[in-house]
Amino acid sequence: MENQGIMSETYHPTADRLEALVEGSLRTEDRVVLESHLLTCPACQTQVEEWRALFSALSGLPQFEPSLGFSERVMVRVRISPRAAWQQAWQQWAHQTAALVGRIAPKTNRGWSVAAALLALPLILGGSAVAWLVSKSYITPGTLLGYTRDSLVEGIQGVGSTAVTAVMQTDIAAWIVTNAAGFISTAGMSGLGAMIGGAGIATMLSIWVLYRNLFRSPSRESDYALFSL
Amino acid sequence: MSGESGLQPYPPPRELDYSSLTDQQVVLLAREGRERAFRELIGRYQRPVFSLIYRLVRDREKAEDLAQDTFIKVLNAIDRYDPQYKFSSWIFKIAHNTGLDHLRRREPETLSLDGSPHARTAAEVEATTITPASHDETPEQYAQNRELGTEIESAIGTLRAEYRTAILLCHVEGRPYEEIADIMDVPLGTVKTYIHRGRKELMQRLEHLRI
Repeated sequence: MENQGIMSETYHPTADRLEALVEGSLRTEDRVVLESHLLTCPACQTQVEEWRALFSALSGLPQFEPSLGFSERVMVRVRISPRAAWQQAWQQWAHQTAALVGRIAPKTNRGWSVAAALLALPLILGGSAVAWLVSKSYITPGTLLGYTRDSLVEGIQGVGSTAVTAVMQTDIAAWIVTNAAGFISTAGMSGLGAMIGGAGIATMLSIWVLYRNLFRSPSRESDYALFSL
Repeated sequence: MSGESGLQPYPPPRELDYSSLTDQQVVLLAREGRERAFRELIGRYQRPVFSLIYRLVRDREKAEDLAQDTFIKVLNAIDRYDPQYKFSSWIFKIAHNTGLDHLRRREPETLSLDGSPHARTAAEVEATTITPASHDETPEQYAQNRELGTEIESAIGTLRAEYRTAILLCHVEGRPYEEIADIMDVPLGTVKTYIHRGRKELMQRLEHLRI
């Protein structure tokens, strides 16, 4: 029977079960079975009353008062150092930001999965677009990269970031573009797909690390203070 | 500052009703250097912290010293306290560890409402006598409860320190099992075992006082 585990061979509940009944930790179905047994068993009723008396005695234990002047003796040895205004402002801003991020961040694993998928979506779409373009015979990886670089340079020049433009026109930038084109030419579509897939995985891993360090529930072993006492 | 309701400016110190603030709010005021906030924290927790340590070490004078050390340690580190954790769990954790550290260095004395049996002078008797915060019983009830109180206090004193702490935090302080596990830094299952075994031992020791 489902509830046989709460009874001993002679159908009396065990002491542990009677304790659990008084504590209120039994499942409803077990509690009902026990209570119906108690109606006809004086011995078990007595045990339950004894448990109740113990619980009552423990809950009724007084809290003791330390001697007069305890608070003053503590305050004499406490260092009170008010924070500077900038420290308070910084702390306030940090808490505001954390509260805001906490409100907009997903609260469930499913939510995080959706957010990660949404963030990876541009990568997937961009990679698909590049793959489609490269599939055209009149478009080679080299010309595509060159066009992208020229467009990027024009765009950055358009917003007036001359410093970034200068970087893009350096030998290093040209080296990167050249080698990337060479890599794609060598590796082909699979290589390009691997690059995009790797970038997508790295993005999702970054999000996961961010989530675990900012929003994960602390483990029981964590210190309550930011540093150990 | 509050983790629950968002950030709001506080009124000047003398307009604040500290008793209506949460522990986290009082802690944040203490971080701003408000002495009243420090005193509020002491006022809220001096009795529960002292009671826990007293029942652990069974020596009033030593319990006061250890309780003072607990508060000094906590309040001097208030800047490092992380408000996402319950302040009560933090201070009880430190109180528990402070009491345990002391027990590892000495043997506890018997607790008695009549003072320590080892007291030799009236001053020592008074120093080792439990002073309950209040009791409103009739003379007959006071006498019965005094005896039951002594019996149960003595029975609690015979428990292992871990069982004692778990029982006191559960029944006297009303903390949930999960918080007790955090305070004692043990798994939840271990807390349940401590409480269950502690209760069984108390039942056996109090068998002669069947009600």
